[in-house]
Amino acid sequence: MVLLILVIAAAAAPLLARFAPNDVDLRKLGSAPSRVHWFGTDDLGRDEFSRSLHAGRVSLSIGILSALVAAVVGTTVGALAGYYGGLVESALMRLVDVVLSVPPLPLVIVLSAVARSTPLTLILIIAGIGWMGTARLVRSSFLTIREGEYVEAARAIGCRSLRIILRHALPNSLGPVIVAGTLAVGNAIITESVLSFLGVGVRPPTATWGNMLQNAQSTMTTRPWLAVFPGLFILLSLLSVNAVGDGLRDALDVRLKA
Amino acid sequence: MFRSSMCGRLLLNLPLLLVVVATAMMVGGPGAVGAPRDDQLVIAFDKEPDTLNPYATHVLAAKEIDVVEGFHATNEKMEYIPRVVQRVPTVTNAGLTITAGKMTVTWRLKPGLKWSDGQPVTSADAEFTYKAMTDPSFRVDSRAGWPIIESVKTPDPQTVVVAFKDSYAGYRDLFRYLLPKHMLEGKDLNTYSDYNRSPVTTAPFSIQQWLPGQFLVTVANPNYRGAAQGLPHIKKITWRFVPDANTRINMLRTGEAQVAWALPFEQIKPLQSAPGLKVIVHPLNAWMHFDFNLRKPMFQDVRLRQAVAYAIDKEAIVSQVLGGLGKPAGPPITPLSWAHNPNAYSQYKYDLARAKALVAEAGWRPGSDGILQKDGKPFTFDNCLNTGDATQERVQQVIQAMLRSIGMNMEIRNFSAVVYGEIRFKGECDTLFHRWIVPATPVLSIFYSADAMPPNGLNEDFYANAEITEIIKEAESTIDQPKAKALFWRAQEILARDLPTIPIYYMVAAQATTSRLQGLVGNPTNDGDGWNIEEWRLGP
Repeated sequence: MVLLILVIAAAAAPLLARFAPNDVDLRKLGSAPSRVHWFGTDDLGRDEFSRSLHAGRVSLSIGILSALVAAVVGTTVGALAGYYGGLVESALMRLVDVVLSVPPLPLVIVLSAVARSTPLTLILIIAGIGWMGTARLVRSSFLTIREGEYVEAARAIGCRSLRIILRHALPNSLGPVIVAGTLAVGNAIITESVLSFLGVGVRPPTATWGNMLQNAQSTMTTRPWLAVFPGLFILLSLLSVNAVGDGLRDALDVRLKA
Repeated sequence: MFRSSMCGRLLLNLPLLLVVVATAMMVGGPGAVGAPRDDQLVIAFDKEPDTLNPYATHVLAAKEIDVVEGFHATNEKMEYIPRVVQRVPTVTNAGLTITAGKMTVTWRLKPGLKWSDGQPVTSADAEFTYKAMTDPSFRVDSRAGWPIIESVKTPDPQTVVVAFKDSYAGYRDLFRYLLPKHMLEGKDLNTYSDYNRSPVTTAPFSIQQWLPGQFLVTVANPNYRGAAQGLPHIKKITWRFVPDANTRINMLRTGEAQVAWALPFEQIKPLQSAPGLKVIVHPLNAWMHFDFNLRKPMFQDVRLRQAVAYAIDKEAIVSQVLGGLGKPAGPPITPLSWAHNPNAYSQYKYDLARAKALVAEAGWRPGSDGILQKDGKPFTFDNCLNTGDATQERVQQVIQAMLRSIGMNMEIRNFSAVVYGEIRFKGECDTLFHRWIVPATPVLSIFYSADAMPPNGLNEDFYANAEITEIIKEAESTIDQPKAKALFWRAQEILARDLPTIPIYYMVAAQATTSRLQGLVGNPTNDGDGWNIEEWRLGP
């Protein structure tokens, strides 16, 4: 519900906000929240309310999409490794280990030198450094599931592997995937601001919750509202994404239905 | 030793740590041990030196903590002052002569000088310093100026006569540090850690202890030439290595340190009103500038560069975004220098109408989205900056908004330090927003000479003008100051006409100290704010 409001508010940002998000007004630097500027203005005199809403568009879409990509990739790799075992498992899980062992920051710095940043590359980068955890989770739950009696039964009556994975094994391991996925949304929102610092993220003056929060660090004591509002938005969206995740699990988890 | 064993215990014993810290906070004493004393100081320092051989590093720490010195230094007004020599040689005091285009400079050492280990300081040390600096096996940070020396002669232990191949106005920046021959002769300067970690010195302080990663303790040098007059007033300084600025400020607030070194710009205003503290803001010989990459097609037309100059409201940037800390910039030589030409760049007063007219004259018309267009192409270019300085990033976005108001679409493309250095030297950015800090002797050649394009110099504008290259070269080798000044003035006028660079603001730096500390005034050059540390005192 809250998420829905957030999404609608972000989508309708141009209609709701009286000021353009990137309009600099040097006469109104850092003014406190007022009737004109509901959330105050930032250190360049830009309307914080408008920036928060517009930032939501970027942050929510990057957060949700990259979490989704990471979840899909991670689940696929984990499912294949866990179900087939043996050589496939060794190969895939060693790949996960290799990717995990590459420290993400130097990697991103190199990428920033070669790639021009676009929203798509950003989503891919964030997903690319975040899918391994899900892969491990899914693999471990598949390891137990594939020995389960219902899987054996399915195999005995001649179901094909793909059907067993999708129909029987996957729904049973969805719980942890959803939890990991919802947490990843929050991570992605913060990671984006780190990436901006390294030169591959969203470019100024475009606002994101992450970069608003980061810019507010130095003025935390003097203009707290600059940190409070984006922080509140991140908190709210995380809570609601988590709630949505819980709901999804309740709806999808076959074990809870029994 | 007492201190290090104490530290070991502190780490193991958390309750004791709390008690000690609480006690230190109550008495406001220097550091966690000992009663408060007015001849001791704890400084929360922003970095740890890599080596204390000042020639071998670009980290200014050795200079800043004042354990090395040489012939001269520059003071808070950027005037050269003598250190181990009796006076700064000039044409007027006959210390400098020029015959047939070749310059000879004679320095006389102060009498009776001793190194901190008691050995006499002689002209042989200067000769040794010269030999070390011209020895290719010694890996130095910069050899600038040294190859111009033809010979160093030492007619007596007090006198150093240096013959140059040419005339060279930067002669006072040579021998900024004197190396002790008796300690270093025959040693490999790159690896000789006895010196690199604890140099024998003529400076007010020498090293007592250096615990890597933790702190460095300097104590008054008993053989310092001012020792008889009680200098330095402070007898012992603990330099704690604290890279995080917020931690440094907290240490100052709690009384754990008396100085929070290198106060970040955003913290100046909030700390100015803090009780018991003092913020010293001083000008730097440095400026932020907007640079055009003249290898790229975008800004070939000088009218477009002029339009940018007219569209940037430097006054508003300084008064609003910087809160008045700094000065709107004119030419790329700061007002601290005698060579500063106040008229150069004065034509570019903020004038939007003028900027728009220039853009139109160059054939660009606003499109439906407000962005300028020409032959169907939008006026879009990128601007690069080193990330990490919030203030600079803020000003960059203000410039972006100001240029947008005349229809130029500036895209911000910032990078972390390593990538940024690589990219700007390759000339991949259309424009840059960048900082220069320079020594007291004016220098333009490394930035604007045609032969100083990367990798041979720092001409990142890729600005090639034979006329100015000649003028700068002559100006920098002219010893006669009025003559040199006329040449520098001309060079600044040409820069204002050609506009390869638009200086935006002259910068300031700041230190925060307890209000008891007296004598810290700062230094605009990389002589560092510890340049007059021997005169600092802790008042009541």
